[in-house]
Amino acid sequence: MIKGIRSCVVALSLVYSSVATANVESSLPLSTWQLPAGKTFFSQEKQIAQLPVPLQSAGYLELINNDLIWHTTTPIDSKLRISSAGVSQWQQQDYIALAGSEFVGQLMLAVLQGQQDFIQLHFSIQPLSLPIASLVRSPTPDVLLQDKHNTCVNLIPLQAPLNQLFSQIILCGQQHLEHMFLIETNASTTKIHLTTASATP
Amino acid sequence: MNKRQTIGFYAWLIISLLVLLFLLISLPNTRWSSNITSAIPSEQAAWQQQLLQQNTSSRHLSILLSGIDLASLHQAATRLQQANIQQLTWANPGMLMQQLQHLYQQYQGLIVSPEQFALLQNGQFQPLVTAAWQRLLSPAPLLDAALQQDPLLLTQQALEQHSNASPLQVRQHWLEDSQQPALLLYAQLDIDPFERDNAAVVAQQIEQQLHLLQQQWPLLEINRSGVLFHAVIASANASFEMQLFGGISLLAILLLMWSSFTSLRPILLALTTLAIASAFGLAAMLLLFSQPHVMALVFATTLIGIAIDYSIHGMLAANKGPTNFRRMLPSLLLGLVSTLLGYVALTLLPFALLGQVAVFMSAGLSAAFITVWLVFPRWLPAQSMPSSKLLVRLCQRLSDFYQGFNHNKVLISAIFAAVAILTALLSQARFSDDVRLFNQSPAELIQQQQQVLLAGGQNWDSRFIVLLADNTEQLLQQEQQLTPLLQQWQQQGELQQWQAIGQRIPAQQQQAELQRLLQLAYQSPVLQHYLQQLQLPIPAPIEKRLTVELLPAELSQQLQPLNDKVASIILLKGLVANSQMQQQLDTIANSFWLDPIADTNQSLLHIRSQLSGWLVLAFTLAIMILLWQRGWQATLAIALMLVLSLGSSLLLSQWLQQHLNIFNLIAALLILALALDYGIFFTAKLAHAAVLQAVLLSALTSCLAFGLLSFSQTPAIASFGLTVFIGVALACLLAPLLNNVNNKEK
Repeated sequence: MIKGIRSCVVALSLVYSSVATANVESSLPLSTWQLPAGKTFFSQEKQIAQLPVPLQSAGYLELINNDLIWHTTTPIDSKLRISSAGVSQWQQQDYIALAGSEFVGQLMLAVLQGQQDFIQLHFSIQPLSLPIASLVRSPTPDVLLQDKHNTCVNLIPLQAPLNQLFSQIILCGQQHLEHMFLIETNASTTKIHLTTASATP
Repeated sequence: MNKRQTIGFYAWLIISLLVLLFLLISLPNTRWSSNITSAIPSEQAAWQQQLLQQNTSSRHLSILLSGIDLASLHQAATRLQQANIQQLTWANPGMLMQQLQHLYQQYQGLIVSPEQFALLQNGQFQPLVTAAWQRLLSPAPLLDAALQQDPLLLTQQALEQHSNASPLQVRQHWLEDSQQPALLLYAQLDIDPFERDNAAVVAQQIEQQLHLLQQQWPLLEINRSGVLFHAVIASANASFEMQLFGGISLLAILLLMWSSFTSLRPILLALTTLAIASAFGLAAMLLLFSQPHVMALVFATTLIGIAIDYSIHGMLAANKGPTNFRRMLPSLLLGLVSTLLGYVALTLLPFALLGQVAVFMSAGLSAAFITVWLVFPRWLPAQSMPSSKLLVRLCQRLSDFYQGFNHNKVLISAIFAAVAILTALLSQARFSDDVRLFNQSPAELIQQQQQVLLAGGQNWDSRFIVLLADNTEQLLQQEQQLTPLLQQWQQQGELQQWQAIGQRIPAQQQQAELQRLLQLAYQSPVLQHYLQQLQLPIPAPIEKRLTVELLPAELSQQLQPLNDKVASIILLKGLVANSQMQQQLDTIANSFWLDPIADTNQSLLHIRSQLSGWLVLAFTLAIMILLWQRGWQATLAIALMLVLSLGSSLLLSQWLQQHLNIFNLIAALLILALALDYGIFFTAKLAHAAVLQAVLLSALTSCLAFGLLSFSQTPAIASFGLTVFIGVALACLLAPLLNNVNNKEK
């Protein structure tokens, strides 16, 4: 009896999964999740594998001439420029490129700008079948679990080097992209919460 | 015909057949080379030559695909890599990157940038902590287990500081530019690209696949880079020109023979002479050289022009009867000896290409002479070959015209002209010894190569620095000593970038010093606070060491074993070299500046000097032989004719090319040999009109053979052909005037 129920559940979940995949791919919200003009504030919680404490930071993002400025204001002041050419770090007087960051730069830009072509080329887009809490090791309560209006998309990298860095990337939001979960292959996770300037009290 | 001559005739035919048999067996197995630089001697030290020979970069090739969307480019590249191209292995940059990343991951905390090392040495820890925080809080992923081994993330940041001049990013099977869609594919050949036949097969397979891609994606832009493409084109050009020029020469000569003698017999005799001469020349070259150069064969097509001279002299003399033939033979022999002297001089030069040409020509001309001597009297009975009446009349008129000149006036005019030409030549001659001017690849291929190298950031200078040491550790320490000088050049704008093995693997001594400095740093309040914030313990000093042997083989090619030493090659980019750099480098022990092109040019300069010496020596020797054989008046006249022909041909070549080169001097040596022949015949005890007929036909054939070479796509060959053409034409115009001089033989 139990075996039969289990089979039915598995079969149903498979059917649900395939239908959901088709739905997700046909109605991707990514294109509507483009960053609005002006500043978008972020709070980031980075859980590095084998590091006992999570690293929390906050700041704002801004799109300037197709380049994304990632300005961390707390706990330290740090500026990154993310462009299709890669990630550059502000050092004293100029942005210095970080070698090997080209793909990460493209990825961040594509995700935050909703570049559907790039995402479809490099990711398999899947419905979110597991609770995010089980994927993201985080000591803070997960807002997503409490917000049923959020739409989430699970991106599974298809090829190197992305699949060597990330096991999956989860994007959630309603009108705008509100949450990003970067789950690395080494079990490190980065949870980024975005709020637009208008939504900030 | 006596019995000895009959035996000689048959023996010669048997030997010729044996040589042909040898060629039939040897030719299919011959490995032809198309490497011009290997044919030119080097003045470098033995270890430098060994280092250059060990260099495998000539086996690398790159293909840049662009012009269509990225997804189509992926398909095209995959299709190309999946095509079964023999003797070619595609590189896997993604896997290489993974291997390197994995290696560095295991050895985090042992690699730091020079700037980080300086901060640690100076006890300036706060900037290191700030940088670590910035990196920690960046959304970009970190290396595995970074914080445990290297809490300041020094290795992570050092790796990220390596500037990447190219917009291409590493993918599994290629490098990719996703902004302006382009893929760069690397491959390695399992064969030597200068091995003509094998290289042609691989290149053909590649081109076939690229053609298929082009058909499927018409907008696809394909750029190639690699020695293979240049070598195959050079080799194909040489083969094509050899066949074309050889074929046209032969056809024109046969037409000339037909119109001159209106009989099949002279044509058969000329063909027999040419066939035997070519077979002996080729056989001698194959016997003496394991990998003959294709360009030597192009030069060797000139054999047709000279060997036919012997045929014509032989036929005209044999046609007049045995007495006339016997009278002609010493002059022909003298001509052969003088020509051989010129070629023997070439074999003494340390220039493999010229040595091969000289061996071919010496064997070929000797065989041509023996054929004339032994075969012609038997196969061409007296009066069996009627000369064209038109030709005879023309030659008679020309002879009358030349004999009408006043000897003294001609002599005085020639002396004045010789002085004027020599003065102009000495004042205007400018020699260029740049090896790059001798062999030119098609402009389109060079442009493609530039594009590929620029796209991949591989546009390294042909000059580089080499460090020598007893072991790798010593070598890496030497690189450390050199680094400040390279940085100084960089700051002064004399050097844009360099690449050395030490940038990937620091010396063990430096790794140990880094551990000591880090342990000191961890005790500082700044670091203590940082580690407490992250709740990390102070890491223990890392005992293991990163060594060169751990690097993937593809990334340690700049390190080369050299007998009992090890050499490190430091690649340079954006170099504005000056004499001071060499002096500054000399202050660093066991460091060497290597410039293979400049070294080859220097070698060419030396060979050119030697060749000039040989030219003067050959001229002097010829004058001495003439003095002995012809007396001083004829010798003076021939010498003037030689000076006028040689000087004018070099002067005209200078005006046409804007400079002279070593191949013009080689041409001069050949002109000397040919013009000397004409001089010998015109001062011989032979009828002027008959000699004129022979020399005219000979000169026409030579001019045709050498003149055709001036249309060669290879500048060296074209330059050679042009000078010989001018020289031979002038010698032919001037030589008939020699009949008026008194000589000992008369």
